[in-house]
Formats: sequence, structure tokens, C-alpha cells
Amino acid sequence: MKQKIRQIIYDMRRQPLISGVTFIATVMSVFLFMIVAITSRVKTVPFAPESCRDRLMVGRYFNIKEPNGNSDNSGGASYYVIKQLYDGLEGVEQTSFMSQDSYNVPVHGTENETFQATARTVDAAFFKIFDHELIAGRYFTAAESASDLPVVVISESTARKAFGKADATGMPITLNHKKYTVIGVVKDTSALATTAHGDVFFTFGTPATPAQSDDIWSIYFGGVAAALLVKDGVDFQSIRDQVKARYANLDTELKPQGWETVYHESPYDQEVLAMNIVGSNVTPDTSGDRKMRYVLYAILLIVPAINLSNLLHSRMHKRITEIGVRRAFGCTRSRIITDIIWENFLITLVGGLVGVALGVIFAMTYSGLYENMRTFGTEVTPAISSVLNWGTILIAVAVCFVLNIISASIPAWQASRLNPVEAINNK
Amino acid sequence: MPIISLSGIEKVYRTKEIETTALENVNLDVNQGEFVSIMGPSGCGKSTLLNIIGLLDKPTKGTVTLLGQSCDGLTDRQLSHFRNANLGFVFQSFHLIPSLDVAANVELPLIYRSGLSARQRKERVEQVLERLEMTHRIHHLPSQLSGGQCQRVAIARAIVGQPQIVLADEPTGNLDSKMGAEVMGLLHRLNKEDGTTIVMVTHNEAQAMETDRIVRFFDGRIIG
Repeated sequence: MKQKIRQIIYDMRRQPLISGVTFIATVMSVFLFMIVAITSRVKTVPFAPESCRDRLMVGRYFNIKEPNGNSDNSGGASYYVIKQLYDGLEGVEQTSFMSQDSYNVPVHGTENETFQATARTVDAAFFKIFDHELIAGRYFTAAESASDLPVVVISESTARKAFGKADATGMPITLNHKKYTVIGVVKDTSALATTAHGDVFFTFGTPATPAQSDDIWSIYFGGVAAALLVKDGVDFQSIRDQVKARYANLDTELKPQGWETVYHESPYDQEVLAMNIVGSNVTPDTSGDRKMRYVLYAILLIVPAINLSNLLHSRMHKRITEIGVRRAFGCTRSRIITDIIWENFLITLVGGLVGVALGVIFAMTYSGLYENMRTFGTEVTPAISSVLNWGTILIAVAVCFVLNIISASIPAWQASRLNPVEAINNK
Repeated sequence: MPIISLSGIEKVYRTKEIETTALENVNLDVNQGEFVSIMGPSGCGKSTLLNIIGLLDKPTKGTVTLLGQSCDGLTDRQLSHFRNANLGFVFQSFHLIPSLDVAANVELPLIYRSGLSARQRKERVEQVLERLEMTHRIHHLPSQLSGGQCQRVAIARAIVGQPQIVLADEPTGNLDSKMGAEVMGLLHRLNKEDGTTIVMVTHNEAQAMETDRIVRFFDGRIIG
């Protein structure tokens, strides 16, 4: 190992340009890969307020069609549908009913400014599933969330902007031109927490019952979703199987009306939620999405690996005599290959670690590049520990290893095939 | 029984256009402990012969037997192990590895030998360097040494693995006469004290005369 390090340092001194370009190319390749990996990982890795991502499923959207295929309706689901499909499932620890998406509301407090904030409509269970850290006041009670009481929980930055202070408990606030009272203030969260992030949380209120309408669209469609916290060790598929059976139950009331449900593998786990294209009338293609990701990763590895391979080839050219001498003194071909790969791996690893560091700094600094940040300025990024952990480092080392294997294999193999006599004479 | 036995060796280099015979029907036996010089004009096949004896190159025809073992048909791995265990090389241009210091250069054959601990390797390297009076340069890089010192290190590397045969290709070719004489003195010492068999290619008639036997080459054939 000591000799390999000496060799690397010597190489860098003797061929500063090629070695420098190799090092920078490695840093940039791993940096680029890490940006893509972190961007992808941040969509699935658990972090507050979605620390439960590995046990989280979300049911949203509803799709019905006429059996003859002439007509198809899809979109957000009504509370009635969501409750029918997701309430009281076996293996679920908590079920929260909430608005399907976040939305913007104008906010006005005691400060002069009126500003826009990201809002969600949630029930009391929402705060049991998602760990929004309370810094003042309290969350909704179940009774409050089921009522139409004008109470809200807001984020710290909303409180500061509206009232000039974090503890806004009991303060009156105007939201969407209606008066509310702040009962709790929670810490700001990242907009990357796409299911739970919000600055204003309204109570879910009293849901409309289907009896109040006979229009099929009003009964079955709306803007409600269910977040399910699955019990530890419960298989997601068992939840999906139960929901599928409930779709069949809904069919019994829809079919007499000339419709039937179309099941799209709901509820979704975090991998599906992280996918870019999830529509209300399509079944998420997780394996296709995975394949696309792997192809992207492969391209991100192979393209720089080819360049690095060329650079290594140039570096090896100056060591042909040395390879011949080593062969003369008993070094086997396989040892030549492993030695070159090891040496290259050390360079790649150092470059890779610099690349990881750059990647993390970049990711933390420019988190706004991750996603469309619909928030008004609470650019809270996930804790560094959520993206930079042993898993990420392991990925980085694996990337370095693969990059090294791809880039070093051909030059190492060529070096091992050199005729010792020709190599010694550098022919 | 000879330690080196070449029988009917032929070496032909073929390209698309031309066929060049480098060695033709070479038969040569070298006995244990013998110091043999190979002489001849440039391009007559001396180095080719040395490479074939050193198992660095394969003959087109003929048999190479070293230490009583036929080397025909040995795999690349077997050839590597054989070279490591039994052969030492000294080159005209020293061919020390520039990134490694003297100790690491000398240690080179030992790192390819299994069963030696780092401590044992270090001890052997120190012993050899002491014998060749190079201990004071142990942590120097080749670039910090004179030509004569480089060749001493190269000889140390050749003998550290205690090979029975040392093959030297013009070992004094890049040295002035004083240093050349020193190097020759070292080779003679090795030959006498250790009984190491030495085959040396040289253009220097005087140095060749000091060896046990001179094999003269011309146009790929032994002429005397």
C-alpha cells in the first residue's frame, strides 16, 4: 500500500497535467453522479417531517370508467372514496385524511405585509404520522380537526413574517380573507417533504356526505388523500391487497350506475411518490422508472470512465519499462492487473471523496434546484445527516469502485499482456 | 548436469512482409557456478538468447531446460514463479523503478514471493545492501544515485531472492571503466562466494576474458 501511494505521488509529480486532469475528471464525475444520486435519494430518504417514509403510504386519485370503455373519469378522490378505501385497514398504525395537494393562501397577520404561504388541510392524525416539531402551542385535537372551528397551525417563518415573532399562539390571522386563530407553531420544513410540508395547516373540518349530492362527480371525486403509517414489519403489498378488495366493494355501488373502478396499485409508497410522472389514470411503472434511473446512472458512469480510461492509458505508457521489469522479477499478469486497478482505485477514491464533499455542499447550498419550490422562501433543506450518511458514502465508494473498474480494466489488461522483453526495451 | 541447457533453439521474428531469424540451432550448456560471457556484434542475437534463457521470451523451436526442468509448455504464471525463484536480471540501463527508493527497488522480487513477512523482506534487503555497501543510500531514489550506484542496486535486486542464475545484459555498458570494473568485481564475488551461475552479454573483451568461458555469436549462431 505504501508503495502504491508512493507510486501515485511520483506519477502526479512526473505527469502533473495528465494526473491533474485525471483527478479533476474523477472529482467531477463523482460530483455529477452524487448530485443525481442525492437528488434522487432526497426524494425517498426519511427526514423530518417525513421521518416515516419507510412506513408511509399515500392514497390519492380515483379512476372510474364505463365498462364499454366509452368514458373514463379520473382525478382527485372525494373524502367518501378515500374513507371507503383507506380507513381502518389492517396493519396500519395511523390513517390521516388530508388535502390531496398543498395550495397557496394569502396570509395577513399583525404586520402590514400580506404574503402567500403553502397550506394543507389536515386532520389530527396528520401530526401523529408526520413529525412537525412543535415550538409553541399545540396541534389540533381530533374534535377540532373534525369541526369547522377556525383554528390553524402555522410554521415558524409564517409566524415571524405575520407577527414578527415565533410564538404566535392565540394570535388572530387572516387566511384567504377569513379570520382564524393560531393554536400552534411548528418548525419550518423542507419543500422536499412533498407529502407533509406546509406553512399553514387548516383543520380538515366536517366532510360532506354523499347523500348531499347525486352527481357522480361530486360523490366520488374531490381533493382528498389519505396518509397511512404502516405498522413495523407489515408488507406494503398486504395493504394494497386490502385496498384492491375495497375497490371491488365500491364497484358494487358503481356498476348499477354504469361505472366501474380502475385500480392503479394504490396506495403508493415513497418510491412511487418520488416518481416524476404519476397520474390519476395510470398505474405507476416503478420498474420502468427504476430501469430509466439505472440507465442514467450507467451513462453517468460509462462516459467519464471512457475518458478516465484514456487518461490512464497515457499514464501507463510512461511505465511500460517498469511493467517489463516487474514481470521479469516474477510479477504475474494477474498481479499487474490488480496492482494497476488498486493504484487507480486509490486515486479514484480520493477524487471520489472530494466529489462527494462537493456534491453535498452543492446539494445543501442549492437545494432549490431539486424541485419546484412552491414555498415563499422557507428554503429549509433536509438535515445533512439524511443525505450524507453511511448509505451515501457507501454509494460513493461503490461509484468510485465501478468507475475504477470500468476505466482501469482495459489499460490494466493491456499492460498485463505486454511482452516482457518489449516492455523492458519500451518498444 | 548443466544448470542451463539449450537444445536446438531457433527464434524467428515474423511480420507480414518479412521473416527474420534471430537465433538458429543454438545448443548451449552452462554448468552450475559457471561464469559465462556471450560476445558478438550488435544484432547477432545475444540479447535474444539471454531473454530466452531468462524465460522472458519463447523460442520458435527448441528446448530450454533450467535446473533440470524443461520450461516448454509452462504457463505464464508458472514462468513468473520460476523466474522469481531462480533467476535474477541485471540490465544495461539498470531499469530501477524511479518512484521507489533503493530499499523498495531491491525488495521488488521478494514482494512477488509468497511466505515472506514484511520483516523478513526488510532483513534480506538490508543484508544485501550491506553486502554491496549501499546501506547509506537505502532511502534514496534512483535519481539521487550515480550510475555505478544504480547498477549496485540493480545487482542487489537481482540477488536478493537468492537465485541460482543471474543474467546480465551488458551490465557495464552504461558505466565508465572504473565503475564498470567495480561492477565486474561484484559479479565475480557473487560467482565465487555464492556459487551463483552468471551468464553475461558483453562487448568488452577484457571483461569477457575474466570469465570462465566465452561463447561467441555471429548471425544467430554460436561460432565458438
